[in-house]
Amino acid sequence: MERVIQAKPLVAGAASGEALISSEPLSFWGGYDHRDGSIIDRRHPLNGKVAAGKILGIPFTRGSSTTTAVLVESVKANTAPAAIICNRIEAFLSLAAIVADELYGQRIPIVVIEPEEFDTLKTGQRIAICGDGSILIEEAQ
Amino acid sequence: MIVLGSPHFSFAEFERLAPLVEGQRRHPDVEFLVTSSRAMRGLAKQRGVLQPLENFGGRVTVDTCILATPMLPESVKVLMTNSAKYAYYAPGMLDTQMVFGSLADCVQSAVAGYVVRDESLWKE
Repeated sequence: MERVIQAKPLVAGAASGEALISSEPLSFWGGYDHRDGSIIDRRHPLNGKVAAGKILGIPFTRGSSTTTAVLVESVKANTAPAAIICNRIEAFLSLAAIVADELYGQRIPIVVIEPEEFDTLKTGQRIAICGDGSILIEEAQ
Repeated sequence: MIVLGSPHFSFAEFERLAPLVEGQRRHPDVEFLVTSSRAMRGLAKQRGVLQPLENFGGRVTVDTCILATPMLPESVKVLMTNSAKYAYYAPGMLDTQMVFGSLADCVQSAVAGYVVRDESLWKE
């Protein structure tokens, strides 16, 4: 079964992959290891999971503004998520995606959806994000 | 090892720390590190609140954060701090165990050589 959600693209681009979703906000600084793309915040529900190449869904970032630098570093190291879905406007992640695109020519789409829609996302779903912000979700079997 | 100040110990904290360490000496097996800024350390020295810390056996590093700069000896696996930020992030970033306590708890633990915590602080 496939359904479509219309997102607002903050940094437009196309990407697809397996979803890794949490309702808990995350600080990339101190919470995301740019060396291997794993989540290292010991108190985060996704601790130990690898987000590299995944469609990461977090409501928003918290904590340090150095989150931006960590995401840029992970783009350079090829350990960044394929795209990030949030449920509110995310200036830190958007800034990182724009800078990484400028520096490394690699664009990580950052899109925002309504909180109620965000709550329907689940880890393991196949998700494709299109350049116009539409999100195709294939429910896991 | 005790780490205070992550990221930066303030002058007000130097003022609070001085009477706590005055006349005491850290346990030889416990390192005692304060991370601060050059300006705060200078002010603390000028106002006479740095000397008691040095006499206690404490070290001060300036202008960096212990989470951003590798400065922990590899042998150190258990840390104690009064910095909630440090306590939250150190386990994931530095792969260490963490004890969170008050400034006075940190000083007493450094003297004793084992964790001393005033549990009454955590009760309503």
